[in-house]
Amino acid sequence: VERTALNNSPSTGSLVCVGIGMTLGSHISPLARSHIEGADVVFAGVSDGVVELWLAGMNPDMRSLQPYYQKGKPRIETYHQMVDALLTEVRAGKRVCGVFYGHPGVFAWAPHKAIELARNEGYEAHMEPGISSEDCLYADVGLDPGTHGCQHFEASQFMLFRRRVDPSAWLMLWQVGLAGDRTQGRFSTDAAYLQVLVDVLARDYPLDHQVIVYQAATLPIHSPRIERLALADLPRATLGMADMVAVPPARPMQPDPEIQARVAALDRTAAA
Amino acid sequence: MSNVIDFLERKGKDAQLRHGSSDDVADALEEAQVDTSLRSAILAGDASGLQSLLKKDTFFSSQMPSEPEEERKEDDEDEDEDIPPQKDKRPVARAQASTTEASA
Repeated sequence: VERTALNNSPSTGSLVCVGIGMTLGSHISPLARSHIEGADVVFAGVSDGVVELWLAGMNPDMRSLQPYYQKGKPRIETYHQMVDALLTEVRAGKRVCGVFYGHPGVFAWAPHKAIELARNEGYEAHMEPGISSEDCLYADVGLDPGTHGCQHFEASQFMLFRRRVDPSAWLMLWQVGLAGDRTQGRFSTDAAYLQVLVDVLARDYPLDHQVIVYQAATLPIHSPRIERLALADLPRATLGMADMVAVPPARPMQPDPEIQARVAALDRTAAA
Repeated sequence: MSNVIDFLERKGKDAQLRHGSSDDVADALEEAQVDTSLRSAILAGDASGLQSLLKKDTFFSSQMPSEPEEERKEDDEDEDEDIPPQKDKRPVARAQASTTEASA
């Protein structure tokens, strides 16, 4: 009803946000490819220019979202503009496909927001998952998040807000190359900001604790970055926007005797 | 240029080529008639060199703000009219300008 009122005519506009995974050619699903090839217009939010060239071969109307990024401009404004770009074409009645690297719903604001707004306006909108950086990390580093549990945080959010860390689980920090950015307009970090991050982590982890800097391969010609170093050495590492830091568990899981006793009592009741 | 992109896609999805020897990759590159400089970058596993040769070396990848929307709304409420927190406050002119930029 709202859509008809806005456009004064029935619309066929729709939106799908798809993930194409991390590595060119390796991770794209047949369904994601079908959405890309069948769309009237494709918007690309990918992390590698060569991947963007690849996408351009799948649809003649492929538009890069890269021009929205500018140093000094708040990133949230960039993301709002990405949403506006997608929604403008949906409202024009087009089948729009937003293509995002990795998984479009994992550490990615614009795809969720665009789908939410499109649905609010009465348009068909949905998301197709992709293989995220986290998925690649599990395979490349050889860890299972189910073994000890796993927490994920955006690095600056982790620094600027008090979060409850469980050092018996894995801790994943995303966008660590932007660590400490309060302006939302930086695309890098430096040793001083990373030292603050280390100081926050040092509340729960020893400084000689080994952490892993990880970056998935975006092209099928190179290996992922897997660099192990002591927590104290993190400020001296070269970290980019695509790097994650994985912090392994630093202590065993703590038993909860009270809860264990309650569960045991339930077991006895069930067996009686 | 399209033959190098086609080759990369093939290398990405073909298990033998993806994990094959450098001789296998070199043979496949020759067969695909990929330019010599691009071929060298691929054989060296030099992603940044390849990006540079294809004039695609500066790319931004951040897709996530540091603060959830609820916190930002409180911070921005009194100071930033330019960032629309809700769709009914979105300036239409800006949305149209954005699309033009994206198309460029």
